[in-house]
Amino acid sequence: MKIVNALMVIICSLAPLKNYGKASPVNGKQHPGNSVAGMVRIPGGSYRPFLHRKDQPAVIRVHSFLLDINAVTNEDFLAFVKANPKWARSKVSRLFADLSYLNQWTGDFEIGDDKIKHSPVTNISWFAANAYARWKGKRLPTQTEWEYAAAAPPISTKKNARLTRIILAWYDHPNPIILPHVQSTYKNTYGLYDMHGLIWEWVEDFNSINMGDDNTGGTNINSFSCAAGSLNSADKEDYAAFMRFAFRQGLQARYTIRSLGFRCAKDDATITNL
Amino acid sequence: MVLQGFFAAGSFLIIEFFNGIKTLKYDQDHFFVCRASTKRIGHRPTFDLITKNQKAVKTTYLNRCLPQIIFSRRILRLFVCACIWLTACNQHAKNNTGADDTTAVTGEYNPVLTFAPNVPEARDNAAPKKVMVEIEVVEKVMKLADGVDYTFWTFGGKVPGPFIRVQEGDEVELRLDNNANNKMPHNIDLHAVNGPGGGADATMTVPGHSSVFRFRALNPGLFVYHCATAPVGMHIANGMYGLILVTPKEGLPNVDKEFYLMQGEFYTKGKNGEPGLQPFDMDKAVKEQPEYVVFNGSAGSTTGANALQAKVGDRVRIYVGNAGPNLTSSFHVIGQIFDKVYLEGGSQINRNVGTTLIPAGGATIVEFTCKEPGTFNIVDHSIFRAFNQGALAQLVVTGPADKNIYSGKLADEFYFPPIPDQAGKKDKPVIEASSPEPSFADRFKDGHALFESNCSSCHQSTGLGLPGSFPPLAKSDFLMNRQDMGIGVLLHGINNEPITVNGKHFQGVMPQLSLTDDQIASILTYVRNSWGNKSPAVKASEVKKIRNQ
Amino acid sequence: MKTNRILLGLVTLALLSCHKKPATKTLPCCQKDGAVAGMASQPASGSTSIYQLTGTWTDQHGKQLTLNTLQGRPQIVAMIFTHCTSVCPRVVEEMKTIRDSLPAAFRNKVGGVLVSFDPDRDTPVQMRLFAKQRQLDEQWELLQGSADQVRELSMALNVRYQKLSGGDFSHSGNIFILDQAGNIVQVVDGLNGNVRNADSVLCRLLR
Repeated sequence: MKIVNALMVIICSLAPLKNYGKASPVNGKQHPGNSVAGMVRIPGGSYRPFLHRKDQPAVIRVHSFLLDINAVTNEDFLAFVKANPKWARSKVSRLFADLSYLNQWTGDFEIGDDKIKHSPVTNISWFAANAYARWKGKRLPTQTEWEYAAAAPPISTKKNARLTRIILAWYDHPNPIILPHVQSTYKNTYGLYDMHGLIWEWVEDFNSINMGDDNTGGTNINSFSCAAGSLNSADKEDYAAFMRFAFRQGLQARYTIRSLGFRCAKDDATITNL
Repeated sequence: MVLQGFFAAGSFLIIEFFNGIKTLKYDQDHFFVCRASTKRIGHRPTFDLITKNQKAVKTTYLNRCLPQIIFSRRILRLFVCACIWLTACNQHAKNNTGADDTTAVTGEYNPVLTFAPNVPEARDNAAPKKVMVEIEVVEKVMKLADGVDYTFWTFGGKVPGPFIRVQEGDEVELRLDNNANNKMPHNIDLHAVNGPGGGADATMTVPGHSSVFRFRALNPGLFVYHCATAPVGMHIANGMYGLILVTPKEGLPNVDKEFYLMQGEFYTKGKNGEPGLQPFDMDKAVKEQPEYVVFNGSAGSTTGANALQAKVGDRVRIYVGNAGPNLTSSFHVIGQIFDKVYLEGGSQINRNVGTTLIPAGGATIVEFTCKEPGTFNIVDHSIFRAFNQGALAQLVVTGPADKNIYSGKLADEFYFPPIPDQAGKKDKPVIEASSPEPSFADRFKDGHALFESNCSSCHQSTGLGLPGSFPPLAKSDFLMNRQDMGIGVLLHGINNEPITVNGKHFQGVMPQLSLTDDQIASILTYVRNSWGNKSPAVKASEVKKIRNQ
Repeated sequence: MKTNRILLGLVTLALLSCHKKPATKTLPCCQKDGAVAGMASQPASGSTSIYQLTGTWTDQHGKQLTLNTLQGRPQIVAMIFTHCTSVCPRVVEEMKTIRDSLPAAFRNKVGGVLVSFDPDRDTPVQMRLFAKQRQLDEQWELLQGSADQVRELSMALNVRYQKLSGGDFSHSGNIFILDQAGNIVQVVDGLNGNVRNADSVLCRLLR
């Protein structure tokens, strides 16, 4: 009996590991619009949000979900624009994207420079990212999901591979003229590439936290909001995270920025009880 | 409404007062008790004037009863009501008209923005205007020190950012652009702004976008501006700072030269001087241990060929900011005294100051007149910062010197070490002579020690002396051929008499040293047996004999 | 005594007149062409119209509609939730004041739109009740949509909001004036707003 118990324990503890690094099969139809290729399942768990209101719990439960292994590339996005011409550069509505939308491309349906085919698509607005995700049968990850997935450390255990170092090193260098390819930086323990160090990424609800007047991110939400309360930060030393939240603070959904792209998420269909 | 109430109450009092004005007359027979009388004379109220002898005299002379009038109930009521009325109306009026000191501005003005060390000129017309300022944030790699590069985040492409010069009362409209190639969000906090974040929350801008806001320059003074995006320390440490001058209404006195300096620290992973592109080190920043403390964004930015220039007689004003992010500066110009210091960039003036403090995130204005030519080092007097970390700038002043103010070096002379005081010992009987003569080895050893402490400074440990100044002892014919073995020289010294040593001519002073017979004997034993010299030991008794001659 | 009473009476009247806020009176905004601060520039094609958002909403009468149906007249828009006790009531009052301060001829030519953050609790029935409580007439539309739709609309209006663990929402309290085509022409702070400006904008749109 003891041996059986021991075996069960071993098998059960190994089970989550098998999902790392490859897409886990998901129930449901698999057709081009509903592909989960290139996604991994991020198992649920507890998460300590970086910024949380004082009257909200400091630790929250995150349900499991699927996330793209890497950011959406220029090539991926081109397919979307070709299928949905209203998202072409010359046709897009000014409500949905501002003036520098896709200005790294040479034309409505031409990327132009082969070197950036496999680089993350940037200069796309939240509306464009959201539309792409829907077209793919997916959605944008929420801020909580993205932060939870991004907090995983790099696979490499080398000293200079620590997460804060990677992030601060990225802040230290100006934007390269040619954006590197996806999967060109580090891989984390969930099997995700370039969560930090390549581009900023859109999240579904970037407008949900208001850091208010004080840009150190630790005090009051603007008093004009309902149920106004003050914010606590999980780790006052996490300067990299402050920067990321400050960046989101300045965003509006129609903005297009050279160093801002996205990746898609999807609900985990294996969960029946949310 | 306000005016009506005021005049209503006021005019009533005034009319009543002037009603009965007469020259006051008092006499000893009367002292006054006034009380309102029920009777009236005509239409005017009367008062009973009670005289000393208790007689009541009716009078309409209101001036005599003025105090009672003023405090009579009716008038008191009226006065109180008027006051309430006035304040109530006043409050209402105040809510609608807004602040008093926002007088209308006329005309738009685009000021010239300059980069350090230059300062824009003062505006001719001091009347408040609408001032349009535009600043672009650029992240770029530039030189921090020789061989050392750094990724700076800048206002306007340089560190420090541009000098903004406005007038007290101006309405400033500021546009902050974040270059599309930048990575980070930025904003601006100007210490001259009255308002939340100093403008920071109105100007949070992501790359490729612009923010605009307006503020009134209500307070005159010299203020710092800097980026205030979280984490603020990192944005400042990367170079996002500059100065804004709000010139007071009455203006600043004219000077010949104005300069702009800004001190800031840099925290790099590599040590000071380590070459290459250096990343920012957050740990060192938190510990307040910079690798570089510099003026105007890089070591050597304002030294040598880039030094500030002025002429003798120039009145110089320097606007100095201290961006921090951590350290306070002890600002000093070596060789100058600040005749005038605008303390902390405000309105209080201090005079005749050598070193002044500039808080982190603060500024100061110093003035002085260049009286002498030369190169003057400008430093943070926490001195290791100046000479080891780069907190050094220079001011070169050209023009005629005035020896009365500063003479420069007047003399350069040799300095003999002071002779140990042996005056007391001379009078004592020399006892040593009667003690037994030490061995040659002992004499030699003592003599060596004595030679080193008394003679080697001139004659050198090598015995070679100094050509032209001090004769050699090594193989010296002068020494070795002397009848007295050199005892006389040690006893009396040599006083400018010319001598020849090994064919060379010497004329100088050898001081008369106070040495005992024993000491002389030891020294001579040593020198006459060193460096190729050879002779028997010299005895103390021999010295005594020659001394007593 | 008589004079005292007369005096007292006069003074009281004066005090009262100082404190009382002017009763809702028609602002003379439509008589003169006043300059309006902060008015967004209008592209001729109207391509910043929020009516470009597709998606079907349900109003308080249970009617299904797209935002497009609001086209044709200016709208006063805000996002609220009916269970809100602090800011939303004030925002709604402010919106009513903006409408009521218009000249009578214009009042019914302007619509009011309240979009709920809270589709779970703000059903059509709940919204009908809310409209009755707040005395919102037939010119008002109260809209319920899916969570995704709400998020998308908040993005278009640049409204920040967050759902809290108790089911309430923390959100900014801005009011938006839309022109006939659906472009945002004025943003008003729901708590300290300038009603005059909003009215001037509306008058200009209706002339």
